[in-house]
Amino acid sequence: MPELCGYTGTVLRVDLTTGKVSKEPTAKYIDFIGGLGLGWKVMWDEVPAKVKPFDPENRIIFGVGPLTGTYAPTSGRTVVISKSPQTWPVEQTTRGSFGGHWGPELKFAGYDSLIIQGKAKKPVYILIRDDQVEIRDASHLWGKDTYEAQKIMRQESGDERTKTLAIGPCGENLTRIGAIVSDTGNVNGQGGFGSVMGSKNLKGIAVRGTKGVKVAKTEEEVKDLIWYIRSLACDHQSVIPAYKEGAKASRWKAGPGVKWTGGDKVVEIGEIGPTELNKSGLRAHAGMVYAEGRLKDTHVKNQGCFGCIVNCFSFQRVPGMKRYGVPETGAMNCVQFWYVPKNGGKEATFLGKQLVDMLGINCWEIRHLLALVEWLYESKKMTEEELGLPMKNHFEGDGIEFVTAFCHAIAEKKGIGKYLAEGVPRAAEKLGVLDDILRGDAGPKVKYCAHGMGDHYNPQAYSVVTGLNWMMDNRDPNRHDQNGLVHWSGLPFETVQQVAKALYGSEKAVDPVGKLTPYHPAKGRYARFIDLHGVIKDSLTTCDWVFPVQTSPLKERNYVGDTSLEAKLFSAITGKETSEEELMKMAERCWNLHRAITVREWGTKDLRNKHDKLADWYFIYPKDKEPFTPGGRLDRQDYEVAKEDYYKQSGWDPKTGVPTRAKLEELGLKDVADELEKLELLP
Amino acid sequence: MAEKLVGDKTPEESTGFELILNAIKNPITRRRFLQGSALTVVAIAGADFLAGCGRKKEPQPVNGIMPAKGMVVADETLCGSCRRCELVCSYSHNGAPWPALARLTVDRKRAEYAMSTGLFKPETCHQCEDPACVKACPTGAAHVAAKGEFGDTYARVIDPEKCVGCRSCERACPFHMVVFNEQAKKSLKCDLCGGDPRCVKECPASALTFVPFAKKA
Repeated sequence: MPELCGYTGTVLRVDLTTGKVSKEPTAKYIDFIGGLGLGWKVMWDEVPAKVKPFDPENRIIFGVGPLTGTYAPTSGRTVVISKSPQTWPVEQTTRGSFGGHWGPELKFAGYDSLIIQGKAKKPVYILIRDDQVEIRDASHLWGKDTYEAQKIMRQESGDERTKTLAIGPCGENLTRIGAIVSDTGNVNGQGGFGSVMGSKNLKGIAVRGTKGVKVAKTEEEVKDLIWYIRSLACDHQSVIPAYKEGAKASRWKAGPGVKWTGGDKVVEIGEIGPTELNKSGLRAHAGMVYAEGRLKDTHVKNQGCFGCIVNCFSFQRVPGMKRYGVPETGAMNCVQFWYVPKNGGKEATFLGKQLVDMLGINCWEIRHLLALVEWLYESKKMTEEELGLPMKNHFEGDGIEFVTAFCHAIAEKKGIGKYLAEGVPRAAEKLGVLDDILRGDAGPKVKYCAHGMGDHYNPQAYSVVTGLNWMMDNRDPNRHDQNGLVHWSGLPFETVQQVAKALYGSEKAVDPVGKLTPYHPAKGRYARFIDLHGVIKDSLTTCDWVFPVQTSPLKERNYVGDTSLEAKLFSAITGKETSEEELMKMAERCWNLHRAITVREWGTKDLRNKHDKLADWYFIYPKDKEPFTPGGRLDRQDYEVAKEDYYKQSGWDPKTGVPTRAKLEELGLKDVADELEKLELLP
Repeated sequence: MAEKLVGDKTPEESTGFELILNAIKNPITRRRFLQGSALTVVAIAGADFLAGCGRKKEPQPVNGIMPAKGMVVADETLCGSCRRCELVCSYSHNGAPWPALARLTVDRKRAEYAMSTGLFKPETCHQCEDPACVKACPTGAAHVAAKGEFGDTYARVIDPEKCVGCRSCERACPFHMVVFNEQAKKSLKCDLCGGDPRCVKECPASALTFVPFAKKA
C-alpha cells in the first residue's frame, strides 16, 4: 500500500500495568480511516465481550485522523472510544469526543492515535513530548479539580504550549459519568470515559508536539477548496441570520445591535453578510442561545477549536464568582448551560458550568439527573431531608446552594449522590422507580431515552430519523444533521424540503418539528446518511456542528450545500483521490464493525428487539395525543416498519438487525463474519 | 483631547475592531493613532490601508535603515484562538500545516489566557524600526528586504541560503518572534508575505489587520 499523506504512520500505545510504551504502524488500521474507525477496530481485536469497563483489559483510545491538525476547517477534534460504564443495560463499546487543541497536538507529536490499556498501581499522568513518552507520578494531582491539575501538568512539562486533558473527582471516584476535560470547556461527557481513566489511575494526559503534518497538496493547490468550504459551512447549518423573519432558531446570532459586552471593551458585531467570510467566526453568540439568555451580557467573545471557522463557544466572564470558590472565567457552550434555577440568575448557571467541568461530570447526564431529582421531590416520592439536597433553594431561591450540593454529591458519591453517580437508569433502578421512568408518568419529565442516556432531540419532535439514529447507535447519537436542517438552519420548511429532496430523493425525508408523518424510505436513507457521515467526521476528524454541509447561506445555490466536502478534503490531504461514495463505503465498513461489536457484547442475535429500542414512554405519552398529530406520541408499528427498512437498506438481516455474512464479506470483514459465526451470532 | 473615532468613544475606549471598521469606513488623517493591541501603538498613514485616501509618500530611511511598510496587528477582543493564522503561515511558507513553525503565535500564551481572561490573540512580528534580529545576524541572512523584493515592504526577512542556524536573531528579538526550524537548522520570521499577509486573509474573526506605519511627525 502506498504511503498516504495526512497520517503520521504511527499509533502510540501505553500499557499502564507494565509501564511499556510502544509504537505500531497505522497501516494496520488504514481501512478504517482513523479516529473512530480505528478505535472500533482496536475494540474488536482486543476487548472481548466479557471485559468490564473498569477492568484493566479495557482499552481507552484517543483517536485522531488524517484531517486532524491540518488546514481542513474544524480539524481540532479528538474522538474517545472505550467500553462505557454509562451505557445501560449492557456496558457496551461506544464513543465520545471533544474539541480544543489536544488532538492536533497529538498529531504534531507524531501519532495517529493513542491506545491506553492496563491499570497503573498508583495515580499517574502521561506526558508526551514528540518522541518522548513518560508515565509520571500524579499522586499530587489526585483529588484536584481539572483546571488545577491541567495547570500543574503544563507547568511540569516545562512548555507553556503543552496541551492537556484531565479527569476530576467524578472520574477518580468511579462514578459512571466521569468526564474528560481539556482546557476549561472542551469536554468528552457522554460515555463516562473519565471514569474509565479513573479506573486506570490515569489522571491526565499532557502532549506537546512540534512536528508538521505531511499533506499531499500545497497551500496554493487547496486554497480554492478551503474557501469554497468556508463559503458554505455554518454552525449547525444555521444559514439564515436569526433576526430574519422566521429564522429565530438559527445560531447565526449576529445582527443589528448585537454586541459582546462581557469584556473590558464592548465589541459591536452588528450584521454580517453570508459572503463576509472573514467574519464567519463572529456570527455565533452562544450566550444568546442558552439558559434563557442569562449569560448573554457576560459573553466576552467567541472561542473556537483548532482550525475552526465558526467559533461557537462563548468565553464568559461572570464577575464575583470567586466567592463561590470557582474562577470567574471559562469557555462554555450548549449543555454546559444546563443549570437554570427557577428564580435564579446567571451566577447559578455559570456556577453549574464551572462545577461540572472542574469536578469532571458529564453535563448531559446531570441535566437528566436533575430532572429525576425534581420528579422524586415534586411527586413526593422523596422529601428534601431524604434527598439531602436544598430543594427549596432550587425551586424558590437563587440555586447557588443547590447546584453546589448537587454537583459535589454526585462527584463525591455522597448521600443521594451515591445513586445518582450511577446515571439515570441505574439510579432509578436502585431507588425502585425504574418502571416510572421507562413507562410511567415520570417518563416525559425525566426523558430517559436509550443506551443509558437521556433524551437529546426528542424523536417525538425530530421524527423517526432521529429515532433510527438513537436505536442503531450505542449511545445518544448526538448528530446535528437533521435537527440542523429542520430547526437550526432558519430556512422556511418549504426550502428545507427542497434541500432534502435534492439530497435524499424525496421531501418526505423531513418533517416539521413536532409534526411527524409516517415512515418513508427517504427517512431511512437520511438516517443512514447521518450514521455513515457521522462515522466519517469522527474518523477524519472534523466537527459535527459543521459537517456534513447540507445547506449553505447562498440563495443562488437554493441554499443547498455540498455533502462531498469531506471526501474532497480527504483526497486533497491524503493524496488518494476518493469520492463521497468511496468514503461512505469505508464508513459503512466501520459502522458494520461497530454493529458486530454490539452483537458480540449483547450476546444475542436479536438486536432488533433487545438493543434497537427507545424507552416505552415515547409510545405511551402524551396519552391524549394520537401518533401523527402535532406533538403526538410515537407509533410502534411505524417504528417497526422503519427499523426493518433501515436493516434492508443496510444489507442487514431484517428479522434481527444483524449484518449478514454477505454484507460483511462485501466490506472486507470476512474475519468478523467468521468470529460471529463461531459465537453463533450470525443470522 | 483625543479625537472621537467611533460614536462618542475615544480611541482608548474603542476596541480594535471598531477602530478598524471606522478606519475602513471613514478617511482619517495620518495624525490619528490606532491602538490595535495592548502592546503596540501603531500610527496609521492613510495610503494603502485607507484604499485611495491620503497621499502616498516615499518612505525615508531612519538611521540608515528603511522602515518596514507596516506590521500585522491582532485584536484580542475578537481572536477565537482557532489558530488558522498559524496553519496558513506555516503551510504557505513550509509546505505543511506546522504551527510550531508559524511566524506568528496564538499558541504560546493560549492555554494561559484560556484559563484566565480569555484574551488570547496572535503575537506578531513588530517589523521593528531598529531591528535587533538584523543587527544580531553575523552572516547578513537577516536583512531588510530591498526595494523590488517582498512587494516593496522593506520587511525584515531571513535569507535561508545565508542562514547558518546560529540563532543569534532568535536570542536578540525582544518579542521572541523568530522561530527555529530544527529539521532544516534555519531561523524563520515574518516576511509580510510580500505585502499581502496570508494570516490576515485567513482569519475568520477579522482579528488581524495589516497596518502601515506612519511617517513620524
